[in-house]
Order: sequence, then structure tokens, then C-alpha cells
Amino acid sequence: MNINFSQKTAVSAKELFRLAEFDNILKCVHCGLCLESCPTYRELDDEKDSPRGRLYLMRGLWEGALELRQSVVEPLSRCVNCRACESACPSGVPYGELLEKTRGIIFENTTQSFKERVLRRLLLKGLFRSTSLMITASYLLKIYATTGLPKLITKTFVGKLFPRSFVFQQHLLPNFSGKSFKLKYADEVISSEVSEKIKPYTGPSGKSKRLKSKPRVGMFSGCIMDVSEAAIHESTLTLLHHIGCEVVVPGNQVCCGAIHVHSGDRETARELALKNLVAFEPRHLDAIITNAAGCGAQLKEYNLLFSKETSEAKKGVRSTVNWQDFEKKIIDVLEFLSRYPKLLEKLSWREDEDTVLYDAPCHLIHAQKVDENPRQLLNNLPGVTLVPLKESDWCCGSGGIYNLVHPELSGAVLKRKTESIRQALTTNPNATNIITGNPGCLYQIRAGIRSENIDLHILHPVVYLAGRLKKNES
Amino acid sequence: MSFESNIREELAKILGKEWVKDDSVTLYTYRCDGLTLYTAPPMGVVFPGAVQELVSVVKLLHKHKISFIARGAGTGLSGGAVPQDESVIIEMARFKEVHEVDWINRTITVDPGVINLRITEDVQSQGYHYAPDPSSQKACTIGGNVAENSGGPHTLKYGVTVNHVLGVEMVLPDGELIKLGGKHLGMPGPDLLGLMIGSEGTFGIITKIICRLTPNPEKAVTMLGIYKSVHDACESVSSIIRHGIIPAAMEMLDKIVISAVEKALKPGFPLDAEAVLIVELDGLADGLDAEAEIVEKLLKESGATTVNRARDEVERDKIWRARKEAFGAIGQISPSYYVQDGVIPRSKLPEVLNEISAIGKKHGLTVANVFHAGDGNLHPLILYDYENPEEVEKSHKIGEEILSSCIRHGGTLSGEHGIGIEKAEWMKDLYPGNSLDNMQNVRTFFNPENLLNPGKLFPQPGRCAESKSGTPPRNATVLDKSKMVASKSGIAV
Repeated sequence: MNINFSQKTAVSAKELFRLAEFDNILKCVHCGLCLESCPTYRELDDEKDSPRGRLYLMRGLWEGALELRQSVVEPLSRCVNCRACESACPSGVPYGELLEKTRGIIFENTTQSFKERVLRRLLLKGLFRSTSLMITASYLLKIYATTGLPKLITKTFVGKLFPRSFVFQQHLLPNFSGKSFKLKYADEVISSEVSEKIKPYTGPSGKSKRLKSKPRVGMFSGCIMDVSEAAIHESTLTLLHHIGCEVVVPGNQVCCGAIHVHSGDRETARELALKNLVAFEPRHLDAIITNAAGCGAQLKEYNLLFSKETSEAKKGVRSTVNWQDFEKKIIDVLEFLSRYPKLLEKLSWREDEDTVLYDAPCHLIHAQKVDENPRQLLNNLPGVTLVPLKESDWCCGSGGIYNLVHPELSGAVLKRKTESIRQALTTNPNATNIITGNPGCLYQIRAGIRSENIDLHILHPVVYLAGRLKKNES
Repeated sequence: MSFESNIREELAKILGKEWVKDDSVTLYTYRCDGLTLYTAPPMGVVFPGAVQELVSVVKLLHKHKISFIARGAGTGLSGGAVPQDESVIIEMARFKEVHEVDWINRTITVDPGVINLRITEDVQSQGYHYAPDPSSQKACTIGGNVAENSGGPHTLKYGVTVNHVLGVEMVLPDGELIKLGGKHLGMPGPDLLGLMIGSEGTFGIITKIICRLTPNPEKAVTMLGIYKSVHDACESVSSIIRHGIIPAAMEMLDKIVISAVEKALKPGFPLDAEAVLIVELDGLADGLDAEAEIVEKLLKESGATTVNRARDEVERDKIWRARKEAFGAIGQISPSYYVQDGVIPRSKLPEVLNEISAIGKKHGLTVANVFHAGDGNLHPLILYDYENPEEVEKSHKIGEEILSSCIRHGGTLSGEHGIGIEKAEWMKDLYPGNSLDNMQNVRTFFNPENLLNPGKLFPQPGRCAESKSGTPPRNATVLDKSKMVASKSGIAV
């Protein structure tokens, strides 16, 4: 994307950064241990496109050595924000937080090109913020898919008439349902008939507000996920039922705002955060379940949008909310299920042998630091052998809408992922499925295996899990 | 400064436009490596992708008498990849192919931009590894390792880079491509390969490396001794060596470093200990347990309050990750640090450590220690706040006093981080008499016009007096160290 822009204010970059609680930048000691973990550095081989280089640029802005110019902003916008560098960093530099704050400053203080402004208005302020628009778009795209046009473009010579990125985008299209999941179940308490008494889930905090026999959990449905890939939410619901949860799907919940935060639109993200707080807070939930690693990571970090002494607070933002209580309840569905090994054991699972490949979403492993439990949960299923990809902790290039904004670089990163998949298939030729717990990665990897004609199905882990239940169970 | 337009055009003809960069943001990010204390922007950065391209670039720069410097991952700690005289940086990151694994000769041939750890990853399924394991091994390049003759914790038993490189292909500063060594062992005549290794990128630019592969030990036992005093831990080191045991590694971490790694990585080191000593034994499984018993006894006799053994690979990895990422972990407790790399005879450990602690106290700054105890290679970390000019000044003084203490006790300036720009002036103190002149004569043989990586390794005389080096590079300026004051964003690591 063209990011022609000019700075809007006369205020120096230094002053803008000093207002943004940016002191954590000092944690970086420039050791370079992050370099090899960075997908864009591995592709571009350029220091300014490495985590260390980008931090050095941010530091330069913070110190006043650099100003907000296009040449400084470009490498910062080329980051996928996979946060693998955070896992590699021995100094505990909160890279994601610093990058997102920087992008916020860039977004608020520079004037973007016309094209960029239109795109942002349509997507960030429009589509992702509105459930009804989302449903309409989903419906239209569903019709588009049934016309066979995407297939015509990807499978025949017709594709040659279009740019390659457009052809790839046809592969990327989610399976839209044309219906909203959250409106389908809005505000019912969905309970199961499992009779066994189980201990209530006490939440990561260890305190339980409701002393009932069944844990009550909320389900976060997201924006695109709410109107596509229906099997993922339905399977999540099924599994939660099977371990005896009461499930609430608040109808007034909205997009998590991750896409906004990644592109710097923190104002809209704050608006969405507060709406989600209002949607979930009064329901007396023991946990809020997410099945999208990217959303989970964002929901767990809402407090960063509302830092105390920033210019952000001065704008009258409700910064008094104690986000800790909300954030503590957020938990990935796999991590949640793995807390109930005994209940899972009691369910009747299929026992046929199956080898399944696994890819860890960056925002699960690097941002949420959740890795081992989901893998063990899957590997412990009767008959199942889980084979993590070589570099399963490596980004696939999806990055929210990164694959639309930087199609070439994203494609290069994806290529490395499909290579790992090919390699895993040579040693495990009987594997028919690959699973990954983030919809963005699912779309991206699916597009990768489709465009390279790799014979493999991609599934969300919950869909795979639900499929391993014996028929009468599900 | 950036490229003159005709130079830029000629470079672009060789490499393609996208691999010739001299915009201000590129220059900004390439103005330092792992040492950020002295920053200096290059004239430009070029990214060759093949040996022939590199040769053409070098010939071009040589023709125009423009100085240049090779850079890998930029993890070096002595400023070896910081350009002086606005040299052109030749970024070697695109050279990352692994060429050939030869199981009979036990060698692997790699490009210089291959990451150290990658070599081990490539051969470990066959039971081999590449022995030198610098703490930055998950990021540093093998080319940089050869230039610096890098070590690592396990060099106590296995030796440093020079013991594990059998041959190199390199480009001389005039563009001539030569080969030194090969898969065979032994070379008659003066050891040119040995000279090349550790020349800190001042003799030539390496384009291929034949590395020796080492069979994995059958078994390893990793122990952690816990101490109430640093002195006792030093005693343990002496005691083990005195008994004729050569562990694979012996690493010490003091209380301050323990607190930092516990914050960052939680390896489970006791926070109330004054020091911990990591001792690793490896070799044939038979007899190793017996040796471990002896070591455990020796550790306890010399003052270890507890000795723990890693029960499995997970525990072993935890201990080693804590050791290898200890420098970075300091970021948790101090905004900046400055690390020295002095080496002393093992027997002087307790004495010099006492002295270091006294030097720190005298100036009012904390000095933390994490180091290769087995070979007497110290890494005192001077903690300071880069925004406090007084502390910056003090950190320099402390560094200097520590180095002179090392030299006074019969030691040397650097165990593995190299001399770079940081310690170049110190070479006069280390080599009085004419040995330094002789060394410079050797460099002049390889690098007669001082076009390759100027300003490194040797003290800088006034340029006009440097008759041995021929005409100075066109872009040369008399190095003025007063201009190289710690830049504002300088954090030394």
C-alpha cells in the first residue's frame, strides 16, 4: 500500500512519544538475539526490517533523533506484528506494545493518502465496527462464492487476466455463512444436559463469583468469525457443553479491535473495548472463551489502550476501568478445555489412528504465551498423533489484514510455511489434516495450500476435536 | 554522506538498484552493531547475493579507493562492524546457504551468513554438532565468528573457532578471490588460515567456510553449585582443574546476574545465593557418573552449599538458556550496561574479582559478573544509566581500570569479543615493544591500503604518519575519538 503522508501537527515526534508511556523502549540492549526470529528480516536481510532495527527507529523517534517521515514509517509498517521477537528477547522488551503505540502516533499525527483514508474509512470505521454491515457483506460474498466466480478465477485461464494478488485473494476468501452467530444465540443461557456434577471453573484468579455447579462462560464471537466458518463457533459450543458449561453469547458484543490497533486506530479500538466490556461485564461469567488467538491476545491487552497519563486519557477516555478483572477472564478455548482432563477423558472419542499436523498461531504462542497445553490436549486424544511443523512457531504472513496490505512480503513469508508443510508431509505421508487455532492463519495457510495444490485439509482445533467425538456424542 | 551518484550507479549495475541503499534511515540503523556506545553511519549499505557480485563490488570500491567493511548479524560487542571513515558496509546476510555436509571428512561447507546454531541444527539428527557456541549463537553468523575467533562456554574443553575451521574462501581487499586450507588436515608453511581467523575483518571478506563437525558426546551431566560467596565458587574452579578434570564448561553467575535471569527466564536459581557455578561434564557414558561424583564432592569441599544436577534435557536447557541470555536479561534491571571481556590466568580469579568489585564501589556503580570461569574469561557488566552523563563517564573509567587490572595480573584484553574500535588503543599497553608493529605489517600484507575495515584492531596513528599503509582511503579522516563520545542513544552492551 502506498503510505504517502505528511505530518499533521507541528509537534515534534519526541514530544508525541514522550506522552505515550514509552519508557520500556529502554529495555532493548541491542543484543540482536531477536533477528533470526523475525519473518521479515529473514526475507529482507535488512537491519531496519528487523525487530532490533525497528526498535532502534522507535527509540530514535522517542529521543528526537528522527522525525515522522515516510522513510522511517515504512519499515515500521512492514512488520507483521507476529511478536516472535518477544519470545526470543531475553530483556523482556514488550515489542508489540511499543509498535502498536508507535503506529497509533503515526495514525493520529500524519495525513495518509486518499486511497488509504478511503480504505480505512470503509474497513476500520465501517465494516469491522458494524454487525449489520458485516452480515450484509457476508451474505453478498456467500452469493459471490456460489456463483463459482472465485473458482473460475483460481482454476482456469481467467485468473491470468487479473493481478496475482487478486487471484490469491480468491483463495483467501473465508466460507461466509451470511448469518451472525451471536445473533442466533443472542443472550440465551445455553446449558447442556450433562448430569455429572463438576467443580465450577474458578478462573485464573482463583476466585469464583458464582458458586453454582456449572461454570458459566461467555463466548467471544469476533467480527469476520461471527459471519463465517460457522463450524468453528458451533464446535466450540459443542465442546463447552460436553464439559458441562453454561454458555452465554452476548448479542451486543463487537469486534475485538485488534485490526484497528495493528493499524494505529486506537480511538476506534477503545470504543470497541468499552462496548465489549459492557457486553460481557454484567453477565457474571467465570471465563470468556475465545477461539481466535489474535482476538484473545487483544482482549487480554485492553488496558494498554487506556494508559493513565497519556494524551489518550486526556481525551476523556474512560481510563478508570479496572481492566484486570476483564482480562483475567479471557482464555483460549484449548487452554480452557485442557483444564478439564478428567471430563474430557470421560467423553467417548473415536479411536481410529490419525496423524495430524499442527501450526501454532503467533498470537497464541508469542503474544498469549500459550503453547504446551493445547498441544498436549490434542496429542492425548485416543489414536491421534500430533506432528508440529518444523518452525510451527513461525509466522504464516497473515497478520490480520497484513496479507492484503503487503501481499508480496506476506506471500514470501507464507512460502516458507508451505515449505515446512511439504516437508512434514514427506515424513508423514498419511497426514490429511493440519490444524491451527487462529482464523487469520487458517485463511492464509488454506490459501497457501490451495494455490500450491497441496493435498491437505486445514481445520481449527475445535472443529477437529468435535470431529473426533463419536457420532452419538456430538 | 551518501554514495556519489556515479558510484551508486555502478553499484546498482552490479547488484540491482534494490540492493544498494544509502537513504538516511538505512544509514541510521547501520550506525552500530551490538556495541552502541560508538555510533558512526556508513556511506551506504550494499547487499551482494553471490560471490561474483561481492568480488565486483570490492573491485569497484578498491578502484575508487573507498573503504569498506563486511557485516553479518551485527551482534559483535567491540564495534567491529561499526564503520569508521564512513566506510561502505557490505551486508553479508544474503549469503546463507549450507553447501555440503561431508560425513566421511566430518565437515560442513557453509556461506558466511549462516547462523552458528543453524549448523548444529542441520547435523544434530546424525549425532554431530558445531562446537564453538557463543552465547549469541542463535543470531550470530559463522562469518562473524571466524572474523572474531569466537568462543563460548564449551570452548574450555573443545577449543575456539580456530580449532574448528578447516578452510575458507575469501576476497582480498583488491578483489582477488583466494582459498586457504581445505578439508584436509595440516598445511605446510606458515598458518595463513590461522592468521585470518580472528583478524576481525581486516584481512579479507570470507565467502565460504569449511567447518569441522564434532560428534555429540554420549552423555552430559550438568551441575549447578550454589555458593554463599564468589570466592568459594572461584575455589571450586581451581579445585576441579587441579584434580585434572576438564569439564566441558564451567560458568559462573553472581548474585546480580542471578536476579536478572530469574526475572527474565526463571531458571530456578536461588535468589539468596551470592554465586552459582554451572559445571558440565560430557563424554562416554561409562565413567561419567563417577567423575560427576568426584566433581560434586570437590564443589562441596570448596564451599558449595548445595549441588543440583539437571534431571533431564528440559532442565539442562533451562540452565543454559539462562547463562546464554544473561547479558540481555540485564535489560530487566538496568537501562544500560557496558561489558568488558578481559582474560586472566585462572589462578588470579578470586583476586581480580575482588579488585573489580572494589573498582565499582570506588566509582559508585554496580558491576555484575557472568563469565567463563573455566578459562578465566571475565565478563564484568558495568551497570549505568545512559541518560546520566556522569554515570556514562564513570562506566568508561571502570572499564579502563578493569582492563588494566587484567593486564597487570598477566591477562589480556579480550577473550572472545574482539578488540574492534573499543579496545584498539589498548593494544599499545598489551604489546609494548615492536610486536604491534610486526602485527600491523602482517595486516598490511593482506590489506595494503587499509581499505578494509579501517580503524579497527590496532591503535590509530595520525594518518599521514601511517606510511606503511600507503595512501589513506579517499574517505579517510583522522580518527578523532573525542567526536565519538557516547551518542545519546548509546547503550553499551
